[in-house]
Amino acid sequence: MPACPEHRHMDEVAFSAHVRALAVAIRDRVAERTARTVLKDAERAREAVRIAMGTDDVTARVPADEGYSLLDEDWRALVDAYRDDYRIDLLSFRSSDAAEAEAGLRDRHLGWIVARFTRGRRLPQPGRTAPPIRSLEEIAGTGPLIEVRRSEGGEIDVGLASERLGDGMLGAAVVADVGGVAAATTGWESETSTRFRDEFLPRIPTAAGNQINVLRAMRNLLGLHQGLLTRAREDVDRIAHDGLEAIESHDDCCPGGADTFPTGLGLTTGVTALADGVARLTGGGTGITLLGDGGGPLEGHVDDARRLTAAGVVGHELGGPTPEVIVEKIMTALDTTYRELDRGYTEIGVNGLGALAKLMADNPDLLRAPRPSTEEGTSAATPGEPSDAAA
Amino acid sequence: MEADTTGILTASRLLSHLGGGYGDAAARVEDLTGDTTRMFESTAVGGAWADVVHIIRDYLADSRDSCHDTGNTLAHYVTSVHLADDAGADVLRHAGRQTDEEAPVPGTDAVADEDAPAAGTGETSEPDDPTARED
Repeated sequence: MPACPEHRHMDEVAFSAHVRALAVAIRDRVAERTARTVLKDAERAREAVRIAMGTDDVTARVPADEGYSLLDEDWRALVDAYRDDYRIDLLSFRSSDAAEAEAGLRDRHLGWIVARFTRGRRLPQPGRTAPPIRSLEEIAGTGPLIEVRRSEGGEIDVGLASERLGDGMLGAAVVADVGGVAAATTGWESETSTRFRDEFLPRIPTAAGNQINVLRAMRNLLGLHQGLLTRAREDVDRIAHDGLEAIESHDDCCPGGADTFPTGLGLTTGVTALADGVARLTGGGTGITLLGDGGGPLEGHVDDARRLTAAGVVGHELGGPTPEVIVEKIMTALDTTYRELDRGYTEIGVNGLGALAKLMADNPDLLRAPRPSTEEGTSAATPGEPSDAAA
Repeated sequence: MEADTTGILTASRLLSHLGGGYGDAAARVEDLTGDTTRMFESTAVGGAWADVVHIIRDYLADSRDSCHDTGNTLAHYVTSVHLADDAGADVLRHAGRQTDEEAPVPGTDAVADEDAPAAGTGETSEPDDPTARED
């Protein structure tokens, strides 16, 4: 049963039902194969008893303990394990008992298989973050993070470059309106006007550039999150499909035939989505840098996010000599998927968004448009001096 | 002075317009929190997302207010310059009062922006007739 491409677009209810159905099928096949294995083990154990009794006569009287006392240490250990783990008396187990054993395994002992897939049923639909991403692009544009530029003299370049600010609603308004203000006040000549045009006004696009960078970084982090979810859903779906196929192809006579059953975790779509998210996060060179600031506080977290993509494609062998081994490999693959997903959540939530929040909280002056003030030094220009009329 | 006045009042109007743009941006950012429980499996990520949204929304709202304040300041600058310059200009004094009462300017499109501060805090407006300021 090949993995289905539709899983990426299923809503949470449909994906939950899909994964649960596959997990239940795995549980039921494991119960069936295990019951068959039990019967085979029972026949081998009774054969061991007959050998120990030194007779092939099936009517020979068997000791009261069904021959347990005649078995060697290894066979006793196997008989004990069946009794302790499954309450199955191996030495008295007959083919007529197989159906009851299968039901017992399915209903009482193997429910944890379905439970381990449960988290996969809670994975949000990756597309849930598409509307916020679109909204952020409409507000702040689709471009990469705005690079910090400095002039030869080391001054921050905060010119109204429309190609840097202007492909979103906010940037376009700043470029148009602040440009219009500069043009409208060219005929105003006074000390106040000089301060207004040269010191006060340029702080508006600087703040806007930083605000836009924050919004673009938010967009990129959402994109990374979307990539993580896409990969996780793909992995869970593939583990379920391939795990079921590994169980169904398990052959008691030739158990080695299912050994080479790899499943590639983090296949193309998921890894591509994740890589795209990381690339957008790193657009601009070193992650978000506020204009006027010197550092790149998200740089280290960007590198960690890159490592998430490097771990994307992992092959797992799901085949094995017994159903128990196959199930153990399925669970290992699931644990790996969830561990990588949790690591990604930490990078985005704790490191990425947390660092972004701190960056904003620590730099209010770089993120606020200037406000007129009569206090010296708090504003570059303070219109309101009637003596300017004499200029 | 007339060229300065017209230009300054144009600048005032444009800054108020930019304030309106910032108001729109702040409102749209506020909507980004949306249904975070359906967007994020991790409540830690959902909470961190909401925090970031609220912080940047507050900065955008503050910038909205700053633009409106600057626009109002420019408008009052024009008013105070001319009042000091021409104490007998009733038209100008009336224009100053109209600024506070959000009176539109005939012949211009300087209608008060919806997001601009209410009257009494310095609503941006241009005098009825710029040429009336000439003596």
